[in-house]
Amino acid sequence: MIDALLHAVPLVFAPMNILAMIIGVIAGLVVGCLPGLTVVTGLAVLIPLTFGLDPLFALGMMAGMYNGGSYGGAIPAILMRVPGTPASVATVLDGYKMTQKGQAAYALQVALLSGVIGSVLSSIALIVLSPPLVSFSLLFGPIEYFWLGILGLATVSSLLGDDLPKGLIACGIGLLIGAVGQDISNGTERFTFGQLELLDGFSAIVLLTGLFAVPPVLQMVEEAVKTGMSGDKLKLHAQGSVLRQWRYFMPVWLRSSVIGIIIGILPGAGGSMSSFLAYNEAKRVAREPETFGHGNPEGVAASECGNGADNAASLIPALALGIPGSGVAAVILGGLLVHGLRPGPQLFREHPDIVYGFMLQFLVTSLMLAVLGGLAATRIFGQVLRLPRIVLAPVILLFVTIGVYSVNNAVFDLWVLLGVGVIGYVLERLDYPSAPIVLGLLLGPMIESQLRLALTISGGRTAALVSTPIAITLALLSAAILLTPAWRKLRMSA
Amino acid sequence: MEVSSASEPGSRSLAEIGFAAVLIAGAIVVIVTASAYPGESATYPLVIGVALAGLGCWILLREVLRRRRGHAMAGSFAEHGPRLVIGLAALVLYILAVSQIGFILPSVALGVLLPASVGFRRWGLSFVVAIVSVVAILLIFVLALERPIPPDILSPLGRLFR
Repeated sequence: MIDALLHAVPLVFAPMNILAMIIGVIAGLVVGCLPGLTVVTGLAVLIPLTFGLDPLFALGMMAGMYNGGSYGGAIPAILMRVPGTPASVATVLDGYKMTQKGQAAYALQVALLSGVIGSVLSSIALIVLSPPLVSFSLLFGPIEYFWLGILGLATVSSLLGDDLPKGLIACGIGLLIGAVGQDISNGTERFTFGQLELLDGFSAIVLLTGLFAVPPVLQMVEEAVKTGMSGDKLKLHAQGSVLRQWRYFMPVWLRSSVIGIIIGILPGAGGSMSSFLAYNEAKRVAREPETFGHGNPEGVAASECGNGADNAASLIPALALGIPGSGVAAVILGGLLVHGLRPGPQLFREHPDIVYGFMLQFLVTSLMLAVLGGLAATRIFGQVLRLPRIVLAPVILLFVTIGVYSVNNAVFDLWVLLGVGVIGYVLERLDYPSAPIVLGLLLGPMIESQLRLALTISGGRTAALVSTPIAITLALLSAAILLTPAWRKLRMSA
Repeated sequence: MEVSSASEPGSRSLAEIGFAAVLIAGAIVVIVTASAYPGESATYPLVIGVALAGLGCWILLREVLRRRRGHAMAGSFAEHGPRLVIGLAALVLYILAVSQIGFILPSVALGVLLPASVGFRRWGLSFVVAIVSVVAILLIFVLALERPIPPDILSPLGRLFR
């Protein structure tokens, strides 16, 4: 691991890759601070734009956007009482109260430094914990990989939404889309309906972009917000140094980071859950819990630190096993596959420079955030909040259109983008989670091929699918996760 | 042509039923189509089709029963129906225009006309943002990354981008 990390260092610090990380962090700050746009939307716009570029350049932008967007959400939460992302909802509670007390700049500094510390510790967890998990996955054969795929689908379908049947439907739609194209084992064309463009199946980039970038645009048109934020709110001046108060914040940072990292690793959790849990824990152990919600800086620190700490951690199961810990991780997983990088032991064996480089990029972009998210930078990038959101809707569309077109140089993809975008909008309005669709598309072909391989090896005996301890454990875990919503319901009604 | 009326309340419940019905119909098409595939190629999509049909029936029946009991899903499907239609129409027209006359003109038009169609009348701001965006895209994609953009009628730029 150390060797691979050392080899990756010069690649990560190559001038072009540093530029990519800076662009990613700035883009993340802008996306995060725009209410209605999430990091997922930003990544969905970014992935087609980076298609064909050097993988570390593209991944550096993704890492930067994830970390930048995570903090960006705190800016409108503190200044306007409007959370930029779902994960910054808990920041509103104390952050906006601090603004009302004339401590906006101090609140932003607390949020920034707390987010940076959470992100840095999370990146270290990613670097330290992923390799052992990969070593464990070397014990896996076709049967185990089949069940691992099922476990991934079960977790995302069951835990990312509130309605299991809807999660399973979204997953089924993704699996079905993944089945479109030539069957790799015998060449049979499935659901191509004579379209040559569909022989290789739907492009994952087009699907990701349509699902996650088009619905927010339609929502912006519906909302038609015609005014931006007043420029006065961005006149920020330093109000003391948070660094000098490190002793005061350290317990909150450590507790919140541990919570964020654990929640990040757990499949289906993350984002708003880690920030809320970190906030509640800080309030529970505080000497004056009644001050929370009335402008206590510890509340902002806990929320933002927990939020930052689940970023890189959510990629631990994604990189090592191919099971994303959150919706954002699912999209990043798609981004990796777009660049021909399939997560799992193979990725660590064949592209150690890239996978360790990507992990280091998380660490570097976390630190970059400390500079690029400072008050001076917030004054500059925060200007985007002054633009009416309705003006930004077509801008997103322009970037999405050109990014998707340039993947295959085909107008056909633009129509697919539109169709998928409309379906994505409908699903979103009806509370169907979108992440299972992506995971179904990505994992479906792997699940089918590993199942066929396992059955071929066992001579067609289906009992072989539960013939090893790991397979049985994974199958039982999948079943338990699928039964979780029913168990929760039962407990609530009891 | 600013639009101000909102969607009818209760449309969310109908949309729930409508989508489930479409899903069931789609799953049946999948089952029928997949049945024609040889052996192994058919099994996987057949299983997915059957599962989708079953889950679609579950959602449909659940919502129908909820309506009967007077607990139908509250709220409207779209936040603002007429504006949603404008947004969708703009998307269709934009892609149609891009496929016919290229990227530049339709993009500027979208940047100015889409906000205007939902009541935003600061033409200057819309125009400046649209122009800056298109120029930025051309600089990044065409000059820096040398990536293709849709063939454009604008000459001499059109010839350069072909």
